[in-house]
Amino acid sequence: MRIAVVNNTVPFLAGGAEHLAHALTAKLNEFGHEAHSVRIPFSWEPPSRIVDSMLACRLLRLPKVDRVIALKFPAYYVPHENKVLWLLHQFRQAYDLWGTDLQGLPSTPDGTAIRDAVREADNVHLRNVRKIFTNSRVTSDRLQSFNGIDSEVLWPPLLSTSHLSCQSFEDFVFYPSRVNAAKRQLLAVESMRHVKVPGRLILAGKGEDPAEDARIDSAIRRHNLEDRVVWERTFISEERKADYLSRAAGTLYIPYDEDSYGYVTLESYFSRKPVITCSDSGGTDVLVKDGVTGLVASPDPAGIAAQIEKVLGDRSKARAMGQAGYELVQAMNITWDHVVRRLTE
Amino acid sequence: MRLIVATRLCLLDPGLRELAVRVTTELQKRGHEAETLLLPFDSDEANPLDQLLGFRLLDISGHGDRLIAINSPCHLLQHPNKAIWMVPEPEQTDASETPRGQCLDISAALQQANLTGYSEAKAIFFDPRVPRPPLSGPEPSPISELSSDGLLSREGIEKSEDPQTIVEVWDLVVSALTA
Repeated sequence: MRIAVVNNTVPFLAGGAEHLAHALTAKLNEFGHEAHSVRIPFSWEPPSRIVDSMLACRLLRLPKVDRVIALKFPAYYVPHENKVLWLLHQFRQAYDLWGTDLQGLPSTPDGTAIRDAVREADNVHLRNVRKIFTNSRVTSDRLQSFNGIDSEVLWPPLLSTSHLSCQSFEDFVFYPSRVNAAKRQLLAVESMRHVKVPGRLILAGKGEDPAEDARIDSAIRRHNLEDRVVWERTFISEERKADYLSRAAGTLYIPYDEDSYGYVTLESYFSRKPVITCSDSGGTDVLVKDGVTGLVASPDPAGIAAQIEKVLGDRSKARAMGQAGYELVQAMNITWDHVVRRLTE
Repeated sequence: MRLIVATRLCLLDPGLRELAVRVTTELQKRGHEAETLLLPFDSDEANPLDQLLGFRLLDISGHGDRLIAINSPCHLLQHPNKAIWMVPEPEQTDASETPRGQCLDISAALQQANLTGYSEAKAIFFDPRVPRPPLSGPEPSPISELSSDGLLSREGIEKSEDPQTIVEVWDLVVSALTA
């Protein structure tokens, strides 16, 4: 089958959605299809351009393609008679973010008109597709509550797992992620003040905001945590990340209110390591079952420290939770085999 | 310099795609940050005006220092520093800009769209094999000749005995497109 994987792009920026589109295209080809990645530029500044971009997508054509798999707003408006969505995001500024600090759109008659145009276009065009899958329960719930449209969750797998393994359970917990306020590495650092058992926190990831970097550095110094917190401030290589995961006692992943479980969680379970997350981390609760596959902490330094102590202090429990996490991922069928089959049926 | 190299995506004929990807690679080799943008287009539609409007509405004006638009309809993309390179269409023997069988109204609209795209460009390069349309406007853009002949491996120059020749040809192309 000749397939176009359609996604948005912002030139010179690549985030999680771009990686997923790339991975999906590669996997479709691996499974014998002829897949092409189609990236449509999208700008939301100034907001008046949003409606132009929506119209542009409706006016484009994808000829000589048997199936379109569209991932994001507004790329999913591209017309095609055999289109499925693997929906990563609607335009959240017009939905759950409207009325919050993250609204983005102006609270003016023009801003309201843009919001209404987005909602109306979704109501019309998302009903006109073969099937909608989403990447998370949260995305499915939003689509149902705002637009009254049903969907099926299709969990995104890792691109590759062959490099992940479990070697040992050493004296550290590992937190690999982009470093920013939403991922809350600062909270992770502050937790280490309260950890009474020996062991370190290893952060890996590049800072995205110099001010947040400075706050983290300052917390490390202020609490004399230089010996207990290591921060590798780079885009860590897959090999190095796999090495840390294979040796860690457990993984820390404590973002604030994410839609999905996060690739870190999957990577941890393929390395048979338990995951510590927070009760307000959002989609991590799909995989992190408290006391079974990992530990759920209250989102404060003492609460997180208590769970880090359990992982560092009881290796046999950590080992059992890591193994249970791996088995849960298998039971949930988070595999490319399943994703490719559902998207091409 | 940060450059976006845009052309249309034709799944069955990879010619333009290969050229755009290769231009991107050659720019990167010479120290530029470059990205390829392939946009879908149905060349068989009798009336392509809707699609042209779609291209026109896509906004990349805030990204990159320069847009290199290879062939129609990418020449309609809006960017404050747009360079257009018109190369022979892979599937066409004569590079006429007016597809067969179109009514005069559509032809006139296409011609107007072309003029609009050209008039915004900071530089326009025509392959010698592509007939130049009559350009008009208060400030015609600078037009130069830039051959695309043999820039892809299947067309010859990469088979040259002398790798230095290949490098020199690409040096020339990159220096023209980034000037």
